[in-house]
Amino acid sequence: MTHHSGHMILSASIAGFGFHPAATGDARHLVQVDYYRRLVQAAERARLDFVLLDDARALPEGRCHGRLDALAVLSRLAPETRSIGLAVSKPTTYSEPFHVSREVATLDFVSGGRAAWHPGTTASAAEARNFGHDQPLPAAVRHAIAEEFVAVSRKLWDSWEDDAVIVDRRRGLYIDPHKLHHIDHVGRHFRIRGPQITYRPPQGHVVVIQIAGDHDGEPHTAIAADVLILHDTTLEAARDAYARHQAQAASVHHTLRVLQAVMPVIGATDAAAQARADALDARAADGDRVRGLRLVGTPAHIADELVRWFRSGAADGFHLLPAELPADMDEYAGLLVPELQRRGAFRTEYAGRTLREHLQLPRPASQFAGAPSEAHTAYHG
Amino acid sequence: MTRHIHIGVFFQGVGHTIAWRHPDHAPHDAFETYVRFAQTAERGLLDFIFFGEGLVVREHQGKFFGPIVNGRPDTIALLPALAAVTERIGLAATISSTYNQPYELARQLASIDHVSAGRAAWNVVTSFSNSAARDSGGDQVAYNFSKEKHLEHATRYDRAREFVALIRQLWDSWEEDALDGGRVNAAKIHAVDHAAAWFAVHGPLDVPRPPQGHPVIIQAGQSDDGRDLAARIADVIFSPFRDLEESRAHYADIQARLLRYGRPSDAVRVLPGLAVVTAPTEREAHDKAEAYRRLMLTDVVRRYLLGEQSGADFADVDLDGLLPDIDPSQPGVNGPLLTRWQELSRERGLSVRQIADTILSRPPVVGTPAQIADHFEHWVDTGASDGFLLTPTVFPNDLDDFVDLVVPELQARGRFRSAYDGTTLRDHLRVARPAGRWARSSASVAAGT
Ligand SMILES: Cc1cc2nc3c(=O)[nH]c(=O)nc-3n(C[C@H](O)[C@H](O)[C@H](O)COP(=O)(O)O)c2cc1C
Repeated sequence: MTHHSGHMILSASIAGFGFHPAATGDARHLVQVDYYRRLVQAAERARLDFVLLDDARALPEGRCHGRLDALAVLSRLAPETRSIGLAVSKPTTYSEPFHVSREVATLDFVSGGRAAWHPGTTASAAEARNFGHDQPLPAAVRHAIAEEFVAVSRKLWDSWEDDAVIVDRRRGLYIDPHKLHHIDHVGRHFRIRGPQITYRPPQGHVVVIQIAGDHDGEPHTAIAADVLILHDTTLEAARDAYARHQAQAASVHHTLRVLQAVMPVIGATDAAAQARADALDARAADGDRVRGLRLVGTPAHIADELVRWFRSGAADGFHLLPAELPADMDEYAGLLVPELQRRGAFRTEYAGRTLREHLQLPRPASQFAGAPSEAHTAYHG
Repeated sequence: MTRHIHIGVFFQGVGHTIAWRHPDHAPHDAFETYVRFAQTAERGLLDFIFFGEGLVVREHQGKFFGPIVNGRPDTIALLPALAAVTERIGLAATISSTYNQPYELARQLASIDHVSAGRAAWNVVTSFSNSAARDSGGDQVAYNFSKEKHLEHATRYDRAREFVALIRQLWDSWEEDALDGGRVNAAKIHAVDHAAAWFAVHGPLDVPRPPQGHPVIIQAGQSDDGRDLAARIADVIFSPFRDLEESRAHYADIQARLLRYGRPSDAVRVLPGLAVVTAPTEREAHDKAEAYRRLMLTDVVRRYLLGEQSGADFADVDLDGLLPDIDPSQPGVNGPLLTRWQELSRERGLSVRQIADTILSRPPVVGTPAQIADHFEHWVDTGASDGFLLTPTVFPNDLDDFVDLVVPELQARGRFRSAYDGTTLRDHLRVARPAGRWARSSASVAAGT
């Protein structure tokens, strides 16, 4: 099923000073919550579906800078925002599903149903060495772990049914014990009994985001992501990929949103935009290339191009990779999004409350709903 | 000089049998409840709020069980959101050193300290013991982490010691001025290169040194290993003692241990847990306490708590009879405890119900605000504690009452702050901000150039 509102989905990544290799800034800002507040609030002004905050667990090599744990930043900003989806990157390599699934469930709890999770894998040698490994795990192992990690996380989110907490003072029951479930997961990489120790997330399942290229090539649809971000550079390739992924999802009755990643470089005129792009490229070190689709021009020009891709079936929307932060997020809110709104291609107000509502994704029922449960009923009043 | 009184407050949650049944008790599964808890504690100028952790759903006799509170938000993910709705109150999380990785936890705690401008604390626990108390975890904790067995007590503390030493090294891996001028000075960021029995971590951390240097460290273990770890590393110690003499002995023991590790005698704040029930008059306070007692001592709660503590099944036991013969050597039960109860029952002719009521009620301190303040002053002035960790029974009522009635009384006596005089939790607790281990070497490098 495709996204049927007539509006495209728009999201953006937040990573360091931006995705252009030449982007720079004051390194103190990256470890201050003010920097991220400014970006997330600008994205909310732009009515974006969600922002995705990048993370890793080692000092970045090369362009060395410090950072803050992405989950801490997004949880900190949840009470200061109302509608925007908050997507956290939390790797599955060297992590415990019991912890990670609970942390993102709690981000959903504190944000009233606005959490998403990018369950990445890490090939970094520096990260491996911070978790007791001399070498990164082989790619095939990382992918297999990620796949099982997401599947078991969905089980843990389902291990409490939605209405498990009943607070029935008359009968003396705080929970309905029939609505908790051991998941008894036994897989190649994890054995987890469950249930989780927190409630089912407000969205049922936190929105799961998969980024193609994470897995060294073809995206693993086995993860059954809710949102898939691709990096095609031509309309034809994007259309093919879109049709293929949607057909695959449809064959298993799974609702999937496919986004194309794009780096807009905005200027007051096309020439000014090109000059800005050239200046950035000239500052980048040799060999540092921008990956994926780049659109250079006026806001009107870029909006035309995005609408053309969207309406010709290349994507359900776009994941914006800001060239330079914080400047580009302000340009999205002030320049690019108004052009898209004028074209009737993007919302002018949030209609829903949760991220699933923004994305028009169904709220999944618990896979254990109605299943028998080991409940102690001797004490029920 | 009179000693400062320090007060933290514990969010009563999982395992609680009384509070939720009170008609006023706020829902545990609503974020607004946590916001109100944090803001009420901050209104009362308390030092910190505190959340517990248990990594397994509380079951009973191996089955899910309705009458007690289960479920809570993850504290790591909750505290930053509470930092957004408060300005000064300290934010303390209980996190297991047995089921986490030091690098991950180091950056999580450092980040909470950054986004709260220096208000984070970590209660180091090794997770519940593998004892007869099967309801509280035992090996079931391990089953949530792809393991067969929970680690033995001594092994857990061995891991905890290495964990804490390493995490402190990670917090120190950035010199204070590594970001001066807005550029990263790579020469001021140091690998930790740790490789020992439990962990191999290269480092450095990717998060700058926390505003407090190190988040405040709390320890609550009562075993010899637990007290020893506390004396080495803790800024705050929680204790379970309700008895003045026991608390004094514990306080003295901690002082002696601090000395052994070369730490000053005022390096830690010792805070026993305490339930306070107060009201403007003595009569009202006692009526309220009696109402709580009646709410708690139902037959369901009696059976549950007897079973939880002993590991035996009390579901069908006659509460009015003597304690039945339960084989104290059967697997999964706490034999010594059952034997003690059996002796009580036989020697004093106590019914199961009477046994339950004598062992189960841990009475709160009940009284007028002045009487409660007297209690606080007496304990602090006679070397039994540095204050208390409040365990309010019904929320918000009991915390509101404490903040509105007892705090002004303590302030009027000059024993409690009338405004926060600092910004960080270390400021509130008056515990020193640790110097980085590079502070001196940098200075000497500078002097040598
Ligand atoms: C006030 C207080 C709060 C505690 N909270 C927790 C908790 O939330 N989670 C936990 O696993 N243990 C908790 N404990 C238990 C201790 O931290 C410790 O793990 C336990 O006493 C076993 O350690 P020991 O064998 O050294 O005594 C708490 C103890 C006290 C006194």
